[in-house]
Order: sequence, then C-alpha cells, then structure tokens
Amino acid sequence: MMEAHIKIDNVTLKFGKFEALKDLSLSLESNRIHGLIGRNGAGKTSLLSLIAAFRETTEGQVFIDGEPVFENADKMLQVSFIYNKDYKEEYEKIPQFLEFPEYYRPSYDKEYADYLLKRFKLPLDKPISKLSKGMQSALNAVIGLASRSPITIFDEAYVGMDAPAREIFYQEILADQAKHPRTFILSTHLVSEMDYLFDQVVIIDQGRLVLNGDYETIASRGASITGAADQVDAFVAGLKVLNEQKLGGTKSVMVYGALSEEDQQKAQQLGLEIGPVSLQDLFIHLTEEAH
Amino acid sequence: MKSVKLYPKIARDSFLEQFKWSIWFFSFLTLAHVIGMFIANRNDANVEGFFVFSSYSAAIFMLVCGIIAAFGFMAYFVQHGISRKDMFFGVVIGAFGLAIAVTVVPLAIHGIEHLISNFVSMPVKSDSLTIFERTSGWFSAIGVFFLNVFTYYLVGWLIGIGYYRFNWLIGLGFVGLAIVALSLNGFFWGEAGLSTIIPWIPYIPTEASLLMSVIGSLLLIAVLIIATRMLTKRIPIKL
Repeated sequence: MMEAHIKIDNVTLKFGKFEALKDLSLSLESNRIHGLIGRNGAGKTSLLSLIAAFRETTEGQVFIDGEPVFENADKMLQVSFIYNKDYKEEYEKIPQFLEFPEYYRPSYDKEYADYLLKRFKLPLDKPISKLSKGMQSALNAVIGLASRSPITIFDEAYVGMDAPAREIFYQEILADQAKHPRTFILSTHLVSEMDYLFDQVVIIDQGRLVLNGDYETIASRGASITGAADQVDAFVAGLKVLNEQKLGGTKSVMVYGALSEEDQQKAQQLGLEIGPVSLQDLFIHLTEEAH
Repeated sequence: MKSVKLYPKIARDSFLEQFKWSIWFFSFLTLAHVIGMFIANRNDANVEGFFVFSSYSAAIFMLVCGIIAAFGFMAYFVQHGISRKDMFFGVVIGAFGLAIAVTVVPLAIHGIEHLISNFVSMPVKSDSLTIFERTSGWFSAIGVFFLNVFTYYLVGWLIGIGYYRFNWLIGLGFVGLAIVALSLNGFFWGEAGLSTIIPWIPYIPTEASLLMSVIGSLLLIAVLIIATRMLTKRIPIKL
C-alpha cells in the first residue's frame, strides 16, 4: 500500500462573497486516522471536497504527495470521498452497484466487500432506493472500506446508522487500518463516540484551523481543576479558561494548555483535584469562544 | 502506481449503459411502427420506412441521453476519482459509439423490413424502402442520420451541463443556445425553417451542396465539443 500525504497550503474557498475556508494551512500525515471536527458550517465538507478534487480552491493549493490534486488523474484515483449520497433514484441492487467501484478502484477488494455486506446485514435483492437511510450509509461504508483507497474520507458517513451498525463500522475501520494502513479522514459530530479512533485531531471553526495535533497531546492539554472556589480562581489565573461551573463553594474550571510539573504539585498542595477533559468538551468550548 | 488512461474504460461503460437504453427505445419504436402499419393498412395509407420513421425520435432519444449524461454520468465518474478530462473524452467517445449504434440499429430494422416487403405487401412508402437500392442516396442518408443524432446528443449534454453548473435561469439560456444550434443543424440539412425566420439566411437545399452541409455540420459538432469541454474542465461536482 502506498502512502499518501496531504498538504493544504493557504487555501481559501469562496462561494460568491461567502468565504467557506479562510487561508487554511494544514498537513495531514499519511497512514493515520485523522478526526476532522467542526461545528455545522465550519467548512468541513468544503475542505474535504477540495481534497477529493470535487472543486477547485479559490486561492492556495491542495497537494497529495507534493502534487496538486485538482484534475490530477493519478492522485484523484487515490482518493475516496464518502458522504451521504442521495440514493432515492438509485434503482440498482447492491451487487450491480458495487461493480462500478470494483471496476474503477485499483485496490478494491471484492472479498472484503462481501464480508462487510454480510456484517452489516445488507439485503442484496432490493433496489438501493428502497433501503433505509442507515442501510444506505452502511453501503457507503462498505464502498469506502473495500475500495482501500490510499486516502479514504468519511464525511459523517454514519448518519442514520443505528448504534450496533456504527460500532461495526468503527471496528472495521480499526481492523482494516491495522492490515492495510491508509490515510483516513473521519469528519464527525459524534466526537465522544469516535474519539478513540483518532490518531490525529483537526478542529476547524468558521473556515479557520483551530488546532491540529495528535490525539494524546491534545487530550492532555485540557484539564479540569476542581476545588474551593477562591483557591481554584487563584490557581487558574493566567491560564486559558474554557469553561467554569460553580456549585456552592466548589468550583470546577476547564483550562486549556499543558500544566507543568510545578503546577501539578501546586494543585496537590492546595488540595485541588485535576481531572482530564474529553475531546468533546474541548471541541465544544474551543469552538464556542469564537461565537 | 502506474498511471493508467481511464477514458477508454469510461467510453466503454457509458456506451454500454446507453446502448441498453437504446434497445428499449428501439423496441418501443418498432412496436409503434408495426401498430402504425396496421392503422395505415386499414385506411389505405402508407407509413415511412423504419429508417426515415425513426429519424426524429432517434434524435430526441439522443438529446435525452445527452441531458442524462450531464446529470448522471459526469458527477458519478468524478465522484469515483476520475478526472474531468478522462470523463469528458470517455463520454464523447461513448456518445460517438452510441450515435453509430443508433444509426445502425434502425438501418438493420429497415433492411429486415425491406426483405420482408419482398414477400409480403406492406403499407410502407416504396421510395423510403429503396435506400438500399439507390447507390447515390443511401450513403449520404446514413451519414446525415449519424451526424444528426450525434449533434442532438451533444446539444442535450450542453443543456444538461448548463443546468447542472448554473441556476435555472442560465440553464434556460442554454436551452436557447440549444435551439440556435439545432436550427443551424437544420439549416445545414436543408430544412427551410431558419431561412423563413431570418430573411438574410439563404436557403440551401441539401442536394445542392452536400459537402457544405457536411462541413457545416462538422463545424457545429466541433463547436459543441469544445464548448462542453470548456464548461466541464473545472466544473465543481455537487454532493
């Protein structure tokens, strides 16, 4: 399997006067699972459609392994962009429908696709338009996984899937990534449910990059400090506060930024409790402040 | 990864898909033709031979295929990682093949009809059955048919792209363009339509100058192909 590294270089994307992406620069390492997180309208799908060469940047350039991707036949073939497609006019049945990716995707694995169809319990004898939304999403997941494209993008591909189906989807991403590593980009709202999948996390908001880093580092940068209100206030002075909650004399403050060894000792002396912050909370509060 | 040229694959695929539709289309058309013959028989009238009979509806069929190509194929191919360039050349070659098929199929049916008419009397105009016998006429008749259906496909494709890429108002503008293109096409092939509307356009009967008609028609096809390529070269694909 080849590697595919993505570089987004000062990219701006405009729709008329509206700027969906604003001078965004970002580098996505190959063969890792990237979680792309952003609120509605943050520009996630815009960014992904640039990577997949569905559209052209207004300014800047998207590179795959150093080559601009737009209208680059070799690079475009390496990208699978899976999103919630409208299947209401798709009268074909699944086996016929899958002939197309099998024929065009160089790394498509039919055996694996058949295995996934069974795992998701997808009916092979019904027109796709007649399947439920969750089943259509599962079909998308099958296409995305079985194509084994060096860059595989799932843009909220889980929509409509029930919890067991989503679980299968996540398990298969991890299992297949272990055997056939590739660059995954998973865009999602369901941060708390999917965060364990991510090697890397990219958060964007209002068309700008908020942060990009590996999951461990980012998760360790958030901390919640709980204790007596005045002591907590004194401790967090000078730190970047994301959120505060107060109950009687006890206060819990969410801070962002690595706490030094010194800070941690100091907290212990003051009898303050330091706890982790979930990626979900970080996402909520990091993207909230801008609004 | 080796770089592979994908447009031959796309040409094959888009041809086969649309050829399947054309089989349906010709089945219905043959049925209509047979029914027409029965009706004509009762009224002591004649119908055109199948080749002539199918020329208008085949053109409309190609127009519709072209429109569907814009909405169905184009986005679908690019969504599967195929460049717009490969998609474009694939679809053009596929359409060329389809135009040949759509010319050959009615010709074959016409031939069968002609054979049967040697044994059974059919209410078919005799002159339209003789295209196989006239040495001068049949080749140009087939050529005209082919150029006509190919042009209609390209016009349909252009309309489809106009609607796909822009809003409905500009799309309507493309329909206007299409009417101009088809009027020109008609003009090259000696339909008097255009010269009665626009007085300064001379009426050229086809027989008078076949060469001019062919050149005009080929030029129109070239313009349509170039325009479609320009419009699709960097076209955003909708989700």
